[in-house]
Amino acid sequence: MKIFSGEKIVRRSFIKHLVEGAIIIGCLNFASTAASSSNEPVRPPGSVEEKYFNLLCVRCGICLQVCPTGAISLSGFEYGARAANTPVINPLCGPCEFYRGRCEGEMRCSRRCPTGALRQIGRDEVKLGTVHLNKEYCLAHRGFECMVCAEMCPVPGAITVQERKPVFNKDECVGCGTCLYACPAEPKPLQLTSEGARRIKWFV
Amino acid sequence: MLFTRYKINRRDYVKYVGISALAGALGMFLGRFKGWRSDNPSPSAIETPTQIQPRKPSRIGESVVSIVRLDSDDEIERVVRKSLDAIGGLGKLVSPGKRVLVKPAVLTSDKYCAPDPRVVAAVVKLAREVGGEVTVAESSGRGSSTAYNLSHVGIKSAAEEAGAEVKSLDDEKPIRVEVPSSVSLREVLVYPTVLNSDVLISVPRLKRHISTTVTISLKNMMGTIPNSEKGRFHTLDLSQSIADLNTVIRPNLSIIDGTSAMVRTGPTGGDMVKSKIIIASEDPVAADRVASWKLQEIEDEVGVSPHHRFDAANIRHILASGELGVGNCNLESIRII
Repeated sequence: MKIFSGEKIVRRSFIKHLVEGAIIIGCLNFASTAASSSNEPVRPPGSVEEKYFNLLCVRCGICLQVCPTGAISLSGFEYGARAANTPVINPLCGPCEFYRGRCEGEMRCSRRCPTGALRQIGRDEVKLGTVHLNKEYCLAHRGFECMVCAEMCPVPGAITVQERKPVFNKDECVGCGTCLYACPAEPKPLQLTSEGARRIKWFV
Repeated sequence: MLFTRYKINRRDYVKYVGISALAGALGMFLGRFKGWRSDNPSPSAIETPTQIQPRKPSRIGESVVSIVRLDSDDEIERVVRKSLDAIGGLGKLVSPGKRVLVKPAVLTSDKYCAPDPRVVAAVVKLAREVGGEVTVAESSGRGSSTAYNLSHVGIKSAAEEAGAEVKSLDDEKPIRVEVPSSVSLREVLVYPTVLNSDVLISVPRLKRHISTTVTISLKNMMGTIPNSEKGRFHTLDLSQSIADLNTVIRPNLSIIDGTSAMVRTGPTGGDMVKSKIIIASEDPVAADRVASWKLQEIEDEVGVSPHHRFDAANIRHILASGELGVGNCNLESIRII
């Protein structure tokens, strides 16, 4: 192995390395975009539009460190090579409590973002995405006395109860993922997608 | 560069393949022993279930429930004292040096969901007057931080002012406890602070609940078990599990904060009604039975839509607790003061 052996770099080998790197990144990009769906990732509150987000984000990881619930994690190549190592909301690790809870009215990730990929906006303007219910796995639809999602939901009217079963209202849902985190069913019947997410326009 | 100029001959190749095959075989062989795996702890590490005596009611014959009206919010402490005196006073339960655990019902950081901090502070103060060492402890719902919730709804500052230690149970290591009745549960994990306390006081708010109809002192005991167990209860029969849990950790005293009650739906997002009552009893089942009956009356007064109505005589976890001998659920054997 001669990678780190202090090899003298001449012009020829420099160009060769460049081309090798470009080919590898190109292959990764192709493989990741081919594998992933066309969905946008669920971003932390106050994020700019997806095409500018990847440019503005410098992958410093400050949002990850200041998050009090651990809801933010770094993405891999699942949203394309351009979105690698950018912050995404993973509600399985923790709920995003921007609406009510430890981060209420604070939005520490948006406040501490050094490049403006996350902007600080009001609590009511945020919509991270929408939660979808798969009735097949839902405990209430299977006949158990479970309504944990509606108990823990911070947004009034986002989850209503009809005949002891939860009903998710797409328009009210802010996509914080509290219901998903609290859900005791295994496998999880809920899925958080970026459908209907409200993102900030960069040039305004 | 990477894959060129490194010459390997047949002899070396066979050698390396042989070594790696041997290493893999050794790993698979060692993996057969369960002791080597981290997910199977050795038998000595598994705790033996703690056998504790179920806390039977002091008097099985008749349960006494006191309902006291309060006229203004300033006299909460006086009214709590009056309601406790009506059922015999705290001095009967708490003697000097006893460890008293006050368990408020704090599900989320919503302050309407939790009992009034002044009620908790009044209970703490009264328990300290008779010489108890008071701890206020709670484990909130999964997905919210107990320490944050307790300080956000104001119970932390109020209880510390009254001289209690405020604890979040989430940091503790739960103990496995056998459930003798075992209708729905065989064993349950409970936090040690709850098991080590001498007197357990349940301080819930009078509230509706979407899955168990009401959440008062019996349902409040769901906050003494870890989050994983709360989730497991929902995958079992929830009402029966609450009843089973209450045979193991039965609150010695229930003081229900009805200064304002949550009607229509709950435990979060319901409508608040100024009901202005404090209900106290040594029998949690009797207290819940009377309180749910009161809650039904309040709903009738306010005029909740018939879709959200409930039947106070037919709440499953209260009836199941009554059957298991936690307390009296029959209104005829409950004396209301």
